[in-house]
Amino acid sequence: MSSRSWILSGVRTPFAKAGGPFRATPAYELGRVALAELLSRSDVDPARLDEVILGNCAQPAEAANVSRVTALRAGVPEPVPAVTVHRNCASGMEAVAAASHRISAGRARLVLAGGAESMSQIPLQYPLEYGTWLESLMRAKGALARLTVFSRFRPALLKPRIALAEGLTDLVCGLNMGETAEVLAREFRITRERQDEFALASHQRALAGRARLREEIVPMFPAPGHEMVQDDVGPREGQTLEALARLKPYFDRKNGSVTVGNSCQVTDGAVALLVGDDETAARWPTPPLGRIVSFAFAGLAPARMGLGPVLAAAKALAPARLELSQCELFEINEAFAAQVLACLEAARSEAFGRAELGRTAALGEFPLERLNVNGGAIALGHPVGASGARLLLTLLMEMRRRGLKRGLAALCVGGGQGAAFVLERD
Amino acid sequence: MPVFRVEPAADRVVHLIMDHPSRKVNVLDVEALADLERALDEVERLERPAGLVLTSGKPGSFIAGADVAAIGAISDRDEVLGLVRRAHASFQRLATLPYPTVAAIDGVCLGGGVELTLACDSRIASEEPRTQIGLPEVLLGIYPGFGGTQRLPRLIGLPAALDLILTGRALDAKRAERIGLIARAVPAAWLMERAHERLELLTTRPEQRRRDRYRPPGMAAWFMDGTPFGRSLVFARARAATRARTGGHYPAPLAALEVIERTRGLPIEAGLEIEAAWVSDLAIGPVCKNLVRLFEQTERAKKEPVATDSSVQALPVRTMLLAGAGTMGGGIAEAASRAGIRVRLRDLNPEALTRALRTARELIEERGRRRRLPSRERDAQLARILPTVELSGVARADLALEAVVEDLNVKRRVFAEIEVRIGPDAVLATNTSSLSVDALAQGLARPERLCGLHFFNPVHRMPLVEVVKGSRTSERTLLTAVALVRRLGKTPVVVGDAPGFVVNRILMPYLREAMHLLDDGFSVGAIDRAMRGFGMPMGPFEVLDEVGLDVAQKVAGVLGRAFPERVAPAVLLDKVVAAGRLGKKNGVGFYRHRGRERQPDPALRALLRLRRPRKSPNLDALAERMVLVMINEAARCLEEGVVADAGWLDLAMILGSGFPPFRGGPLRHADSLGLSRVESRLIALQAEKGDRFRPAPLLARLAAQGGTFTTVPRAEAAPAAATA
Repeated sequence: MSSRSWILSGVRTPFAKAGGPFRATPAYELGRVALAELLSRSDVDPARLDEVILGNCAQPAEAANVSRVTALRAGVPEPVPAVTVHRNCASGMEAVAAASHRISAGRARLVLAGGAESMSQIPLQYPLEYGTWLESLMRAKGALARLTVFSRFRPALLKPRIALAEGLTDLVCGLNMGETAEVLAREFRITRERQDEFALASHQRALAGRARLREEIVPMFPAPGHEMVQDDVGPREGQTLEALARLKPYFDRKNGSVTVGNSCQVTDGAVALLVGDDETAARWPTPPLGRIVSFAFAGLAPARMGLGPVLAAAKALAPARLELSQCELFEINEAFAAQVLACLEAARSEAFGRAELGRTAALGEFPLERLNVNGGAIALGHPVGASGARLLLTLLMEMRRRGLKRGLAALCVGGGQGAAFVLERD
Repeated sequence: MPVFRVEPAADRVVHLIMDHPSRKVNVLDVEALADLERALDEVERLERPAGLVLTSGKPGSFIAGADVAAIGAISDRDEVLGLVRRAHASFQRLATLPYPTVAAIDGVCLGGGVELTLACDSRIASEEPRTQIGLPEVLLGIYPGFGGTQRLPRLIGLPAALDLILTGRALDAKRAERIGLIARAVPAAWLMERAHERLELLTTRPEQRRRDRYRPPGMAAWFMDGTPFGRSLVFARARAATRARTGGHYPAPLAALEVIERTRGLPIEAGLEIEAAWVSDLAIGPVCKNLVRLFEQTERAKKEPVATDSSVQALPVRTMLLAGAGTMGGGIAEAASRAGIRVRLRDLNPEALTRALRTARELIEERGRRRRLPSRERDAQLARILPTVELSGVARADLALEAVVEDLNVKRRVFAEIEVRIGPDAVLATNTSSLSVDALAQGLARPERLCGLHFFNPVHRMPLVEVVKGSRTSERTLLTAVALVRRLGKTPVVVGDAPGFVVNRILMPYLREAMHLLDDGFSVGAIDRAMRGFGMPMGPFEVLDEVGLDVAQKVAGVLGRAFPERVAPAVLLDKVVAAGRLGKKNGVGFYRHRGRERQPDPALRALLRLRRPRKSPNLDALAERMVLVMINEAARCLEEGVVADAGWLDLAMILGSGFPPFRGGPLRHADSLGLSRVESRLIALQAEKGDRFRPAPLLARLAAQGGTFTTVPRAEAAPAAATA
């Protein structure tokens, strides 16, 4: 019988707004702190690891396999292999899924999985034509040839490509992620007011949960000042509905409802989880955080990517013969308030259930009071490659605090996917 | 067994291979020099070879230089001169072979080894980091005497040659190539192939043979080397820099300068003769003997096995817990992370962690800039330090070092917390400067795994670490601690668990004596000048300001309680601290500090109600009083067995307190003064100033027997030239 997968323990760095305190800290350095601290706190011999799997989206040029660089810097011995995985916003969950696959196949007993993302350090790029021009300059022999190449220079060659913006735009449907949220806001008639209220609650819950969140956070002492950062930077004290209401729609200036205030923040951060098999979990010195019951990734139209959590949740629950109502606590990543609220509407809609989930009834209710109880990405931020793992960690930590048995964490994925994990504690 | 082998190789090339049969590394000792003559006979008999490659039979190590022990032991000038002339003759024979010669260097190539390669037409070296090429003779109180002063300036030009000879620094192959000391830096794997190619090049294009000789690369270089005016400028500048660096206490660099200047333009045979004469004078002088002894003692500290039981093995330290990120924390964390050790740095106060990380980072950056290390390496080093406010990550530490506040109860609590969490094999260490290791070991479940690791401040500059052996410290613990200190690039000296250990124990009565002198009406400036004149890098009050007066007060208290008859309570120090003067760290102590500058403080006299300072004090008499106190305390340390022997004590004082190396340490200095003279001066001072000058029993005993603390080589009067 193949082994179940356990999430033994986990930590994360504080999440900090891009351009903030982690401006000078690359993804592999954020990841290094999370990994080293997790190994150190767990008193585990890193030589026992079978693999290190990290999610990362921006893929820094100087560390093509971020995971390997992070692992070695964190003191993981050289013989332990490392791989970086990329499923856009679900990369952190993909890492845990990959770990679980290896464990159930009997190919690993202990895997360090997680994600690391520095959105601060996503570079500006030159257009391809500039490279072509430089190349022809190098090849030009003689003054005349060189002069000819020079004459072909146009200032437009130097126009920067903003990799961050390009990364957040879907190449297939041509929509920016915020624009896909506008699509859902219209489809499910989510008003600006409801979005702002949801965003406000996210901030309030994150602030109220500060002490609880510290239990999963390792303080960072980032270069160059090395001053301690021990809380997420995103949550805003004194955030009001009025202040949110004053913001202009960002993606559709005339008719839109999605603002920077009711969208997730662009953020730096890293998460590390230890994932083990049954035997490792049984011998673990502390009670494991929880075990993975089921997980699923689902695909849908890129323009409606925000509904991914509903599709993935249905797909993850079915093989476990579970209903949504049997889950006691929920995390849905807050890419956009409109998108989360659309998921809630879709889940409770019988029509949606029949048409898109192949069910005879609605998927069920995500009760607001048991969803994202310590705030979500609108307040905490969304370091894309790491968030998926953060949801699992935050959910399990809260289940432990509340003594709950079952929870579900789900995420929408740019490009038209969804991811969901069903987790249990004994 | 021959030292040199002559082996035929492909293409009629002959290999001259040095492989000393009775040594681990090649050393040009008497046996080697004699065998070189035999080998050259053999080479000269060969039927017209195409070329010769000089190389080493020791893998990864070329020639480590001359026989240092022999230099330390030799005391007959004619014997030295004979040996040097013999080497000169052999090297000349190598230099005048009628076919091309190449030295193929892989590994250390120092002193006489370099000079032997200079007798070849061309040199190539492996680019591995183990290859270090340099002329460290001045560090031993002599200068390159096997032709170095003659051949090096001819090869690389005057300014570069003076730099190497006067500082004694070693170069890696890349840098040696840049200044023309070697022709090419090559991968070690292809060393011999490249050597043969080089020979071929020299054969087919004989002008290349001359190209390995110096040619000024530009106008400026030509001016500095090729014109009498430029040369005199270079010499004047080098002389001034050397004077400033050595304080005129070290004859060797000045003698080297003199020899190079005088022999400039002379035929090589005449130059070699002058080189031989002057270096023979230096080699039998006291400074050379003291520096050689210091070198040998340092080698002992870095290599000699510590355990008496050879089955006991040191625990390799991969991860260490450093509890306390105070003044020392950042420095120790930097040193450990540089050695590849992962440091769990724990402090309850996040601001202390911030400061320690900044210190570590500044040190890493500074070193990185100096050595042009890529930022990747600097970042990787800093990434080995993992700060935390929690006591976690202890279980996997191989060694836990505490550097928390100097408070017995706090330290005991820290060790209690650590001991229940750390693995059973791990070693515990304390960085205490004033508490007893035995007292700290009380209450530990396994007291045998505790020892002291007393680092000095600032950690990155101070080479000494006192490894304190408590009465219950196990061999394994001690061995692990000593191995760690060596890995950090520091020099360990094992000391007993006595108040102040060795350095502070001897330093404190000396500093106290400086305060007595202040009471007696001498000025702070005069007292400091007296000791700088003696050769200390800083005077006593400068030292006090540097370490911090509150820290000094604490150490003074400990030693005052332990030895009340010699270290009286320093009322003066209490007053200064009470007035809020803490030394350099808050800008005012015995001096006023602004940045790196310090100025006398006129307000001090009123504060301490001192007498008006005496005019034109006799600085030598002041220095004598302070030095005698040190010698006397050193004798007590030795007698009580706080250190194993006089060599260790002198080494600790030179590295830990800045005692002038050319004087050989307090005990060697006492020997050269003559112990009966030391004793009679102490008795006289005892009568005049009180019992703190009572001669130590060991000193009195040795003086009565006509004995000495150290083994003194038969010293002869230093010739005038060597002390110029």
